[in-house]
Amino acid sequence: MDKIILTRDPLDANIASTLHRYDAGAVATFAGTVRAEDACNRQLLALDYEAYEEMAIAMLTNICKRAIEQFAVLDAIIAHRLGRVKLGEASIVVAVVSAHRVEAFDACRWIVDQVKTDVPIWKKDVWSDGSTSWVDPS
Amino acid sequence: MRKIEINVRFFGPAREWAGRDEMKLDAPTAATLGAVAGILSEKYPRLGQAVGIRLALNQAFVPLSTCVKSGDEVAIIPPVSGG
Repeated sequence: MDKIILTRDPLDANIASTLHRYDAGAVATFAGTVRAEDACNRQLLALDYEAYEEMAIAMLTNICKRAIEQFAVLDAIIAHRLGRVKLGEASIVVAVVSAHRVEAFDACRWIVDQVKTDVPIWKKDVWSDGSTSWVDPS
Repeated sequence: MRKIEINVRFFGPAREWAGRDEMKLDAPTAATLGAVAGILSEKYPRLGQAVGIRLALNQAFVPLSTCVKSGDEVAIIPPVSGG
C-alpha cells in the first residue's frame, strides 16, 4: 500500500487501517472536506483540483518522512484527491499512527499545514452559474 | 550565440495566464533560472505581473542563480492551494 496517494477516486477515511501497525496505540486521522459557500448569488458546487503530480508526490513523500522523524511517530499516510470533488467529499485525508495520542495529533496537524503551504496542488471553485475561479490562497 | 532548449510547464492559474500547458523555450547557453523567468515574463506579461510565483527546476525549488541546461524542466508554480 502506498503511503502517498494522488487519486481521482473518492478517498477512504479509514486509510490508517492499511498500515497494519498493531504496535500503535493511537491513530489520528484528518479529513478535509469541500464546504458549501455562497458568493454573489451563486453557490459553490465543487472544487476542481490539479497538481504538478511528479513534484507533488516527491514533496508529500518528504513531508511524510520528516513527520515520522520529527514527531517520532510510527508511520503516516497522505491521500489527496485530484479532479472534481463535490460538496461534502474529502479532498485530503491524512492519518498518523503512533504509540501515544499526543504525537499522533501533533504530527497529523503538522502534515496538513505543510501540504497546504508547500505542495504544488491547486484548486478552482466551481459555481452554480457555470463559472469557475481559482482559489486565492492568501 | 548558441542556444539551449528547455521544457516549460505551466500549472494552476499560470496555465491560463500563459494560455498553454507547456512549451519548448530557447534560452542562451549558461542562462540562469532567473534569466528564464525574465524571458517568460516578457513573453507572457500577465505571468510577469502575477504575485507569488515560484519556479521549480527539475521538480525542485532551487535558487534563481542556478544554471539551466538543455532538456531541463522548468515549472511555473503559482501560490499553491491544496488541501
